[in-house]
Amino acid sequence: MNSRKIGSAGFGIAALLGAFVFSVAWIIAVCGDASWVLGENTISDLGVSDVQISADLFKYACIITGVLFAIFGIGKAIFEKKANCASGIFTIIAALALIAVGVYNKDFGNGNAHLFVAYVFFLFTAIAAILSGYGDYHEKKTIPTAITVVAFVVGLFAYATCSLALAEVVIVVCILIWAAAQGVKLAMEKA
Amino acid sequence: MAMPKKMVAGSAVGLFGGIIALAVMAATWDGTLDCIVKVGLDMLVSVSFFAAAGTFMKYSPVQGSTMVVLSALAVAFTLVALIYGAMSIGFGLVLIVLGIVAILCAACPTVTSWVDANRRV
Repeated sequence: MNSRKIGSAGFGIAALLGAFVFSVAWIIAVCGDASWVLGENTISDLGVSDVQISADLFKYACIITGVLFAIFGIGKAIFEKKANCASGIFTIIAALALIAVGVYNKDFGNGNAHLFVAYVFFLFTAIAAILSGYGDYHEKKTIPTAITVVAFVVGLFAYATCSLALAEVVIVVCILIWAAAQGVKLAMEKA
Repeated sequence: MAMPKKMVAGSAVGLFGGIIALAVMAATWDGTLDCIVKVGLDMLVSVSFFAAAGTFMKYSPVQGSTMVVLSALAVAFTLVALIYGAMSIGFGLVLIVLGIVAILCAACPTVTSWVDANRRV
């Protein structure tokens, strides 16, 4: 019983850590590359930045966050039930795509590989968020439901109404908030 | 069992938010068709706040857990309006705080259980 509790807390903290690592790396990378403009450049532009430290930070942040989110997804699949368990599996696939986003930057080949894994990441994260919102709603976990609804609706509207560069930023922020909230929920999960 | 005070608080917060959003909507209208999207977004915020307020009534039309979703939608639409530039940051922040208070009221177990016990299906 106790080992299950400790386990779920560890997996939850992985999500929190992933969101924190990506946020910090993103901020430092943007500070390093003065040519990066919010709403004009996509986040992926940091991966091919002329400033080497910004490019490296983006690359390693994607890989480290992807690994941490994959650990979080495994925990979600193991310790949660039904829709939330399925959400964990989709989170694992999204996390693997995030690792690939770091590995295959925009300059790799003709850029299609990067575009493909980026779309896979966003698509599977959206499915994971819908499933987790559905699961939390039926399990009457009210605050995680509320955070999922807010993050999903804001992300969806940003995708529909804003330019790709701005929408990507808004969606990534929403994903980080959702992952952190789900991480806290998983860390506090009772076995 | 008496109605929890958080129901009244949630209803008041929702109504207050709806009225503020309605005022913002009126202020956004400048007589041209160019502002119609912004006015529409402000109207969406206003309607979602009034909808959230409506769930905190004695005969709530929705389940207890759905109240949280409606309150969360009010916050989400406010954020969308802010990102789109349909309202000023000051009003947006006030509405987000009101929405979060509504979410917290709706998330209270006594509120959800009271609504589920008293609402008419």
